[in-house]
Amino acid sequence: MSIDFGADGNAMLESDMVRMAVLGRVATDIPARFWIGGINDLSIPPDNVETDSGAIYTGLGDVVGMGALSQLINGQADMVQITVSGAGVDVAGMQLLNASLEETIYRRFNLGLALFDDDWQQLGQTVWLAERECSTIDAAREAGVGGDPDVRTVSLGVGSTFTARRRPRVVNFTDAHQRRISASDRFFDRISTYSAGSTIKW
Amino acid sequence: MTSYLTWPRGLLTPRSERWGITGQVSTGGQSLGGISQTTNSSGGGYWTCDFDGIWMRTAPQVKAWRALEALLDGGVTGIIVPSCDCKFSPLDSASYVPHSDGTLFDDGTGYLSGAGSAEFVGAYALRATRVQVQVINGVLTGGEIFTVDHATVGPRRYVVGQVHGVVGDVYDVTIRTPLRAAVVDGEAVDFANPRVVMKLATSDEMALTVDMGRQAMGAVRFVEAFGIGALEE
Repeated sequence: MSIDFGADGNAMLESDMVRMAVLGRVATDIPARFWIGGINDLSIPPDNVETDSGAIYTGLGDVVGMGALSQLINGQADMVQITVSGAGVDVAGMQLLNASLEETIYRRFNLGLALFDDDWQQLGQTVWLAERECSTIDAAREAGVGGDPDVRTVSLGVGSTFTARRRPRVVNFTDAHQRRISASDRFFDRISTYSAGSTIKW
Repeated sequence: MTSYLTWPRGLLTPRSERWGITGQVSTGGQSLGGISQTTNSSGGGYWTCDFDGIWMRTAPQVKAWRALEALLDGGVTGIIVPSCDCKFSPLDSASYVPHSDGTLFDDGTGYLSGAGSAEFVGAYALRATRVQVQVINGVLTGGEIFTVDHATVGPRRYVVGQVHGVVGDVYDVTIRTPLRAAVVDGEAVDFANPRVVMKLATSDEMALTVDMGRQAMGAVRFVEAFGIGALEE
């Protein structure tokens, strides 16, 4: 099933010259709205995803890397890392960087596309391509070479509702630990001879 | 409202200046038949400016350059960059108008006619590109540079791309870049002093070589700045 961008939008996408904006929205308490690769601000008309009238999407760096967004079926989809450069000095970048993992994890993430006409006015409504859930957020800084400035990137991991869920941690019993609790308890004194095929990860 | 330093054109005068609108354009490469699709996702681009041939022959010039280099902090601090565009201004200069019989006053002066001015007719939203401008004592043909001093983002530079029509002294025009902020009816359009808030393109942009300890030739590149710090003028 192809995505319908409307008659004007489809005609533009089939042409040799495309004007568009890639938008990201993280539904934190104060939503983080960023226009990936954009300059200055962009206000989009409200819809069922962006419900705030006059919401401003702030221009932010450029997409460094983004995996393929697989169709979400039965709540399952691969986690996708969206890495954006230019973060840290832009307002939206700072907003993303300042949002801690606790704030962003499990929050809804929407990726949208807005098309522009020849006069850079938005064609129709924003087309929201994907809705995911934030799982990880990470920032990196690469040293500049030869006088170039350092490059800061923000990487946002987005997946399905189940991506960030964890099974209960495997509990490892040792005789030494048990004897610290109860010195005469011999309940685990033979446990080192057993192997359940598990590896302890710290 | 934020106040920015202004590039001292009278002191550090470039022999040539090159302005351009740079956008973020990507392409998927050419097909076998030589066709390529071009995508611009930057929303209309941003201004870049190159000042070349800034000849500094006096101590105040060299010291002003050094001071600016220090204050601009490698591109962290914004500066208003003006352009010398008076030759291409659409506005009439102030002039003396004689009496109806063509004579002037005894001292050779006449009635002072005001210089041209311009303002928006109607309110326009952020990123608008089709606007109406009333021009007093001037003519728009396309290619004119102007500035709108926005309360939120400071002075921003625009260019008239196309004149669609004129009714009286109100011009219906297409502009680039898209408006950086919304404007209200009657907001001033400044054709006389085009300028824009910019920053150094790279951190070592203003490194200066002084020849024989006496004079220097400077060049500097700026890019339009958003959300950047300012120093009080």
